[in-house]
Amino acid sequence: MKRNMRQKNMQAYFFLSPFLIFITVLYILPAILTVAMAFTKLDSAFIWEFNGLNNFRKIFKDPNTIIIIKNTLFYVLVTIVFTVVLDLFFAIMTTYFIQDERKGNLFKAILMIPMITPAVVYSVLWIWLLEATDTGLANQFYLALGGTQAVNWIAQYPFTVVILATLLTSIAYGTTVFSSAVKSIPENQFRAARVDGAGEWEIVRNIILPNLRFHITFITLWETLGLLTNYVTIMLITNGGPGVQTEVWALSSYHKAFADSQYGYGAAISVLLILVVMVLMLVIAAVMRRQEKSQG
Amino acid sequence: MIRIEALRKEFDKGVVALDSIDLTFEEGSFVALLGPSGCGKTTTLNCIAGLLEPTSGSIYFDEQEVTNLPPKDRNIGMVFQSYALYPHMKVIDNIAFSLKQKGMPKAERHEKARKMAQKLQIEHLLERMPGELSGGQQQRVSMARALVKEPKVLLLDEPMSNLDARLKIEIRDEIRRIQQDLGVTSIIVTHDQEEAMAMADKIAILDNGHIQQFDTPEMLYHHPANLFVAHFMGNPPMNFIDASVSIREDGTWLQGETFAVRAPAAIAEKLAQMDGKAVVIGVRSHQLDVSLAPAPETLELKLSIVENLGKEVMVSGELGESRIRVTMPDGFAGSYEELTTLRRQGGSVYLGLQKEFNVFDKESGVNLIG
Repeated sequence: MKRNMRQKNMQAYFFLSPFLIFITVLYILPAILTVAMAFTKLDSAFIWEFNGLNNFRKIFKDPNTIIIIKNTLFYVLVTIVFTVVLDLFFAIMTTYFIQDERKGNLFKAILMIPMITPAVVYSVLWIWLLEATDTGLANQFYLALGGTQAVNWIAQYPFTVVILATLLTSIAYGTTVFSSAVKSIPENQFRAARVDGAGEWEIVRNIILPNLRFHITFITLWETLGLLTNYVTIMLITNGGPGVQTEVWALSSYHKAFADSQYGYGAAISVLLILVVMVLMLVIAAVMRRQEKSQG
Repeated sequence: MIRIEALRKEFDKGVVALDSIDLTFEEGSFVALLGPSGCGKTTTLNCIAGLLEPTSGSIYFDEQEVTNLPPKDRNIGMVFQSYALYPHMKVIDNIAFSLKQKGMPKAERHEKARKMAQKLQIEHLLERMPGELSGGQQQRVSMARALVKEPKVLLLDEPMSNLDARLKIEIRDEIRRIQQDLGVTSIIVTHDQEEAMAMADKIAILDNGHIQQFDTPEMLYHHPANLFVAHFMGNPPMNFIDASVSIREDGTWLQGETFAVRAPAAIAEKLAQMDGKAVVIGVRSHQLDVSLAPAPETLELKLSIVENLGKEVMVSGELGESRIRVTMPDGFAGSYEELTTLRRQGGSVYLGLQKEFNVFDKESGVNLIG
């Protein structure tokens, strides 16, 4: 019996091994290299020269670092709050209030469009929409509504634009997760609450939200992770500018390494990010364990 | 008092779940809605609760019409088959939830919840979460939650079908005791006739969205209004024997394929105008006289099974088309062994109708005596 189990395990490992090898070669090795690189002053000359903690010292001395940290926190916090609130709003609207499943699903499919659009196409769409001249779509509306002069939206409100664009791509995932969670609440709980005198708002507050508490924690952490590491939308729309107004941590690592060719310095910045991300992942794992325990 | 008038409920695609339901529930009474699945009993309960809106008809709580009021404005308590406790709240907050919705301060509503928990003997569970309770305990919590608001009416939707047989009887007595204690008008939906008979003052039997009979358990058992009720109520089920009415000079006779018996005066009177009518005689297993020797006006039953049930002996066999079960009356001469021997030899017993039995119209199923 025991031996059988072990044989079965061996087969599973055998089938998984190609993927393990690929992941090792393509992700783990580069990761180790990155960590090593963080302690060198590797630049465009490509000389691996160990320089201890100098890169990290440099990070803390850089006057822009504090701005970038503030930007990152602002970007992540504001986006996450709006994402989760909107996720909940759409999930509850499309699953609890709209009883017709087909209409609810149609709406959720529409929400999905920004997520499945390639980031480059999507970002170009925003740039085109917010074009600074009279011909830009946003400006045409603005002028038609009584604006006197075309506005350079992206230069004037860079963070608003970036957050709005990111927000639209991120609501579909959470909405889908929350919707299925709402659907799995037994109908009789809603009935019991109605009989107990609860109105619709009280049902949302007292029945739906508590039932979703683990999903909310999970989505919050998961989206935070994504926002910390993904800089594509920002890079394509503002590239961190104007100045460093929308420069966030992950993007600055990219800029230092590939725009300024300071590979060692860029690596050091991303190593710090990796540390934060690892802590977050441990928290996610702990949350999921607790959820399993409370449901089992 | 709760009054339902001409209630009708149609679902999508024109499925009629309820039609012309009229019921009156006396103040403080315990009524069961009984019937096979899909008969409309739960739909009726949900209409009373306000969880479903009827297509037409009206519902009154005393003199107030509540037909279109939402559940929260009806002051009802409800117990669900799955209990439907709120899984993220402690037992005490589950019980006090409805009071919280009314805006009662925390100390006061916890005090009330505690008192109700005492009545149901679940005081020691108040600080636990619902997931940590057994089925029977959850059932009691859901009772406490329904009763704590002092509802106008208590609605019970198959409250015991998730419990094992022994616990069922215990909880059944418990619900009845609490109901009488508080004097709250209660309506229970069940498909278990024994449960309904044991608990309810009156039972409404539903089939196909219509009320077949609304009466006391006693009347339903002895005087079923039609063949459906007669089939549905009682265990073992009532025996049915085909016959036709034959009115002669020497009395009113019920004539079967292999027998002819004279109807007792009370029954003959009811059948006076029905000469030649095809009927079905309905008689309970213990309402037959049994003898081992043939006699006039008896029905011959060829024995096929003899069962010793401990407190009594039951025999069954074929009589024409129908299967008949008979419980041996007290003081019956033959023993279990004798009857078994008789069955092995292919013998018969002879059944005599007593003064009371039912006669149904074969075509419409209506009880002609009741």
